[in-house]
Amino acid sequence: MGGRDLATLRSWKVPYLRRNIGCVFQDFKLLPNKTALENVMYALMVTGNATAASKKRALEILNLVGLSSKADNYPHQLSGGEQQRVSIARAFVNHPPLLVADEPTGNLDPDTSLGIMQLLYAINKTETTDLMATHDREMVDRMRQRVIALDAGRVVRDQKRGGYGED
Amino acid sequence: MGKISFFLKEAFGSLKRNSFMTTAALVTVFLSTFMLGGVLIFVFTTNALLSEVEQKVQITVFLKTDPDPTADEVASMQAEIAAWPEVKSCTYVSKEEAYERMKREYADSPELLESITGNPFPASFEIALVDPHSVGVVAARFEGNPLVDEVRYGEEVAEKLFAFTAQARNFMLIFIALQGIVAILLISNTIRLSVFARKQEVEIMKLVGATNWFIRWPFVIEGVTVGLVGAAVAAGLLLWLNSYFLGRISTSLSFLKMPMDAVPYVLVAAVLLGTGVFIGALGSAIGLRRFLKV
Repeated sequence: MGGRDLATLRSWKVPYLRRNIGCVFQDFKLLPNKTALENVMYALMVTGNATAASKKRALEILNLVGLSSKADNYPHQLSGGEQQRVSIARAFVNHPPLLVADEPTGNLDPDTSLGIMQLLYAINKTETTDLMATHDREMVDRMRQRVIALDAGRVVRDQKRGGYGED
Repeated sequence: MGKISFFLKEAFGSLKRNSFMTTAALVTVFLSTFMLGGVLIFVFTTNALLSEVEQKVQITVFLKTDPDPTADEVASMQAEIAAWPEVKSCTYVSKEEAYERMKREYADSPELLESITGNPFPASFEIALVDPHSVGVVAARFEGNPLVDEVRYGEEVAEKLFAFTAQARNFMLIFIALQGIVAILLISNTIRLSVFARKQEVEIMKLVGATNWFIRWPFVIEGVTVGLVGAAVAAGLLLWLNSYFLGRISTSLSFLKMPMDAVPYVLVAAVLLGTGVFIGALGSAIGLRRFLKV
């Protein structure tokens, strides 16, 4: 993974590997006591960025996901879709080569999901590999991206421009 | 520099946010260091009182009266005794002085003084020791001395007293150790609890790519702050209480010569602050350890 053998990776190096993977979760996993801006900033501070530079960068990325007006809101003041946007902003702010999304639309309604998918698609265009796990049939059919289907832990299908279950 | 101010901001922000846990931790630190400090002050004061009592153990060497020793003999003997390393001071009490003392002590009962004819009192040396425990050894050296009539140091009383003080000191050491353990357990437990309340937060921080120390520093700063403030309040209150009550006791019970300077205030305060800070930091770091394995 990224030129590193995960089986022999020392535990203290794990944080540095994590910084090369942006993670988006079904339940957002935002820090509840931090504003949207601070949540995104945290990912930057972690890698040793200065406060001022982090703030500037975080505001830019929030603007990019369309949340610049809600930068100072806390997660509980945001809707599910907005929270997921913050979470994507946080995952992408360090420009990781890989973005892993675990059911990012699992807790969202179809319209909001579409917005999230468009965001992920835009990120994909910036030479970031997006890996998304989902069982959202509609989203998969709309995107027509490479689909890898798993059944009981085995790859059963790998299609260049696939839809959801064709079986 | 940027990192330090970030950590400080994180730490104080969460102290303020979790004000209930912060208060609980502060109260715990205050109470347990207050108890520990109270025990320390009690022990130092009692120890000083014990030493005071021990210092009262002295040797009285009565010289023969028939014939009385010459002034030369007295002078050379005093010089010899004073040269012994165990001896703090050696005072010569002449026959006349002994008689004067007697007169002063029994000034209320002149009939007793009238019944005494001439001066029956022997001259003596009064020897105070550096370490009262060496009383037996020093007293034994006078055996067979031709000038000496009798050596008195209250063997039985001295031995009983020393046995008692030794036991009292052991007891006090155990007391300090127990109170120390109680303080450590209480403080580290409370701080662990406040860390536990933020388990989820720590997990998210790890997932975003924070290193363990990046997460740990704010927690350690929090622990140190709580430990420092709680212990400082305890130390201040204790020192004030101590001087207040010692002052009252020594004015109302003037016969008990209270050792006002027995308690090394700086040391007690340092022990309390050290305990608070050290356990605060350690409690946070140890409490976190489990959650950092994500």
